[in-house]
Amino acid sequence: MGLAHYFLREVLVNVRRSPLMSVASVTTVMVLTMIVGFFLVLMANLSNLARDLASDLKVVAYLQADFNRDQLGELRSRVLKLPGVEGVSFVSREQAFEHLKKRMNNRIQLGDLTHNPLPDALEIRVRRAEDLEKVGHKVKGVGSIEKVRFGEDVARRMLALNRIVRTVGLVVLILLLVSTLLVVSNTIRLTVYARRRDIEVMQLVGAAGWFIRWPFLLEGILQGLVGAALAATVVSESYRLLVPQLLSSVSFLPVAAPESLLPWLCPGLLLLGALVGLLGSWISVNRFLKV
Amino acid sequence: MFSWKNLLSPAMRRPRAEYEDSMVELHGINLVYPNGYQALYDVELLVRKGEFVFLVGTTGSGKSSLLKLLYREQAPKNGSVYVDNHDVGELRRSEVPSLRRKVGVIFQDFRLLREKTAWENVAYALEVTGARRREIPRKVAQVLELVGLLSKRKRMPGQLSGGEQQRVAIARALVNEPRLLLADEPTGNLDPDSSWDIMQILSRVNAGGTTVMVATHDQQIVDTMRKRVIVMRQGRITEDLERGNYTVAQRATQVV
Repeated sequence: MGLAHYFLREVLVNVRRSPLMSVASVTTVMVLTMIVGFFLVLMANLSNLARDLASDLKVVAYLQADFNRDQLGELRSRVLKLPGVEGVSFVSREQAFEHLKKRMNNRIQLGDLTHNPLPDALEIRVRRAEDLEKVGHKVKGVGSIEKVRFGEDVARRMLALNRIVRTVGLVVLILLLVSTLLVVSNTIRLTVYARRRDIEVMQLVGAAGWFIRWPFLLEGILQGLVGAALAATVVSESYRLLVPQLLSSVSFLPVAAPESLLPWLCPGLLLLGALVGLLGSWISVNRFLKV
Repeated sequence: MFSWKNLLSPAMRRPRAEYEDSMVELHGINLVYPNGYQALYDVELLVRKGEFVFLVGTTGSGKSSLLKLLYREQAPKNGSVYVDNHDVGELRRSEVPSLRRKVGVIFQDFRLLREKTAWENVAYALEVTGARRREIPRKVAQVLELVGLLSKRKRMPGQLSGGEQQRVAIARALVNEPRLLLADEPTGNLDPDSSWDIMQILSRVNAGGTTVMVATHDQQIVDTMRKRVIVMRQGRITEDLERGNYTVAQRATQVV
C-alpha cells in the first residue's frame, strides 16, 4: 500500500515536472495506435467481405433420376451428419425449372421443351468456405446422388485470396507494432535521459532495480493508456460516422457493423497502448540502469 | 528489528576477511577499466573499524577508483575486496543495493536529486530500503539536525549553498546508519569555511563509531586534522602514515 502510494506520487511528480515530454509520448502512442486501429478496421472489413462471398458458395448435389422423394428425409439427415455441413435444402426439379425459366426469361424459348430435363437437387451450405471441397467429395458417397458440383475453381481462388490478405495483413500488423514500439521507446528514452542523473543517484543510495524502474513503467503505461484512449475514440467515432454514409451510397457492401467491431477493437487498442508504454519504458530505463 | 544481515545473501554473510576488526580489506587489487586503462596496481590496504583515513594523491592517482571498489561501482580484475567482512568483489548484481545501503558515499558534486527538497532527498535513501514509513520522519529529522539543516529542510538543492548541499548529502549518506562513510573530494567545490564545517561533521560522525575514508587533495585540511594518511601515486599506495601530514607525505613520495 505504502509502495503503491509512493510509485503513484513519483509518476505524478514526473508528469507535472515535464508535461511537454508526456505530451510527446502520449501523442506518439496516439498516432501509432490510431494507424493500427484503422488498419484493424480495414482488415476486419476485408475478412467480412471474404466471409460474405464465401457464404454464397454451396455444394449442389444432383439426385439420380429415379430418386424416390419418400427417402428425402433419410437422405437429408445423412447429409446433415457429414462434418462441416451447416444446412441442407431440397430443390425439386419443378422449382429448378421455374427458376431456370425465370432466369432465361424470354431470351431462350423453353416452350419447345416437352418435359423438364432437370433433376432434383440438394443445396448444401457449409460452415466454412475451407470445408467446401471436403464436403463436396463426401457428399458423393452418401448414395442416390448422380453428380456433385461445388465450384472448385472459384472456391480455391477465393480461399487463396483470403489467405494472402490474411498473411499480408498479419505481416503489416507486426511491422506496425514493432515500429510503434521502437518509436515510443525512443520518445520515452528522452524523458528517461533527462533523468539519468536521478537514476544514478537512486542506484547510489541503494535503490533496487525494480524500485527505480516501476515509476517509469507506470508512467509509460499511463501515457500509453491515455494515447490509446484518444486513438480509440478517433477510430471508433470516425468509423461510426463513416459506415452509414457508405451504406447509403453502396447498400450491398458487407461492412462490419460498428456494434460488433468496436467492442473488441477499443479494449484491444487500450491494451496495446498500455503494453507499448510498458515495454517502451522498460527498454529505455534499462539503457540507463547498469544491469 | 530491522537488520542489515537479513538483506544479505549467504555469500555475503560468510566472513572471509583476514582481520576480525577490519572495516575495509583490499588484497592484491588490480583494477582495469573497460577502455584498458589500469587504475590500480597490487593494492593492499587494511582499515580497521572506527578509523578515520585520508586518501591523498594527485588527480588520476587512483583515490576515486579505490573508493569505487568499496561501494561496488567497479569490480576488481583480480584480488579481493572486503567491506565489513563481506566479500564485495563477488557480489551479484542484485546484491549491490544492500551494500550501497550499508556504505554511505558523498561526492564533490553532491549528487542530490534536483527536484526534491532537502528533506525528500534524505528520506528517499530510506524509502528505497523499504523502511517503515512511520520511522522515516524521525530518522530524517535526526540526521538533518546532526548536519544543522533541519530549519532548511524544505529548500530545494538549488536554494542551498554548496556547503549546505554537501551537508544534505552527508545526512543522506548517514540516514541508513552506515558502518562506513566514503567521501570523494567532499570539499573540492567548497570555500574554506564550508570545508571546515564538512570536516567537522565527518569527525563527529567518526567519533560516533563510523569508519570514515576521505579522498582529498586539500593539504590544509589533511595537515591540520592529523589523521592516518594514505598516499597514492599512479595507482599504487606509496605511503601509509599514522597521524600523517600531507605536505610531509608528498615530499616523501617525491623522494621515492
